[in-house]
Amino acid sequence: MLIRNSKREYGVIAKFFHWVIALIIFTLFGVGLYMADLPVTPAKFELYGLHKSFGILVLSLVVLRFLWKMGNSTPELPKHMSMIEALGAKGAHLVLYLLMFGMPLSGWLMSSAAGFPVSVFGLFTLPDLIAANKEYLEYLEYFHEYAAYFLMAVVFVHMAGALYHHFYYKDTILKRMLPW
Amino acid sequence: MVRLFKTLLCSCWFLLCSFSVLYAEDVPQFEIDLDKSSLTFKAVQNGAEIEGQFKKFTGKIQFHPDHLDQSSVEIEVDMNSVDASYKDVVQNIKTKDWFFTTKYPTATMKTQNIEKVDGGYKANAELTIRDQTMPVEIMFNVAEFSAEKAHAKGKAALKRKDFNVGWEDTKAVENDVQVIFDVMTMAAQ
Repeated sequence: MLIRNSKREYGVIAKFFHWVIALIIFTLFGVGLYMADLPVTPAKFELYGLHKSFGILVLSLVVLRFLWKMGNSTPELPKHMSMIEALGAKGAHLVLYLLMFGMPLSGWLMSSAAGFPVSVFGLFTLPDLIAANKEYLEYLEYFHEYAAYFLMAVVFVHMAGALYHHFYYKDTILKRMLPW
Repeated sequence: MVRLFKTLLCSCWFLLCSFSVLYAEDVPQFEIDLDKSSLTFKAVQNGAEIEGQFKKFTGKIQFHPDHLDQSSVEIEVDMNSVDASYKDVVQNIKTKDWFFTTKYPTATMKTQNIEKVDGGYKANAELTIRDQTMPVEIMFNVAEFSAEKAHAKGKAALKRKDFNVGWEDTKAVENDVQVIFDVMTMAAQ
């Protein structure tokens, strides 16, 4: 088992980041969809609090993941991929990284604009990024919602790509990221 | 001659009386200059502080730092004028569980007495929110005072559940609420 990535395989640290973040993102998406339309009750407040806390957890993990990625080699794409396919794969990864930063940051901005600061698991409260502002809040709400749908669409393409590699090309793309 | 003297004496007495009446009215009356005033409340949700404001409130204020025994403040707050940066809060805080503004459109505060304390003044007041009246202590200081205008800033600490405001659960929204005011007043018309 590798700790760091090699030219062929992902190490355990990269795999850990990949799967933990994926799991939290799926949960956040589901909870986010569900909680937004709930009537205002203590349960809604609690879900919002948890959604924000886990969102900030993702942001922290993504920062660490990005640093780890920068200090590591990235396994190469198989030689049989066309230029277009390779560009598509790289593009999807770039968008995924942008959204992994963009989603929690827009959520944090939203909380600031709403005047509902982010408390991280009740341990500490994040400073507001902007002053409370109703107009910005509306734009940020749209952004956060549609960026979430877009993120899920790109995740779907990413997953479809991995399965396509596994079943059509029968290469190691999917296997090298599996945790076992 | 005696008659004239009597008239004079009477006039003097009358003048003296009027002066003493004027003197009693030395405690000026003020009304709130809403554009320059704010009434804010702060609560804690999920461990983080949130705030809202009341945009409309009126007051009958009689105040003179040297005549605290004759000073009093009465404030009436339009509960429907509540505002916050998050529209869900504004909508929901007006509902039955919270302010129930359709049934209780106003909240009132009346001071019982005002005394000088270190760093300002302390007022013992009766605060009515919804159908609950409770005594509260209000600490304030007067930044500016003249017969034409006065400027006061202060705060009070409340427990929302004392007034049946909000959920029984205090985990999502804590029981402690701070009320902060910054009131600019002008001489009453």
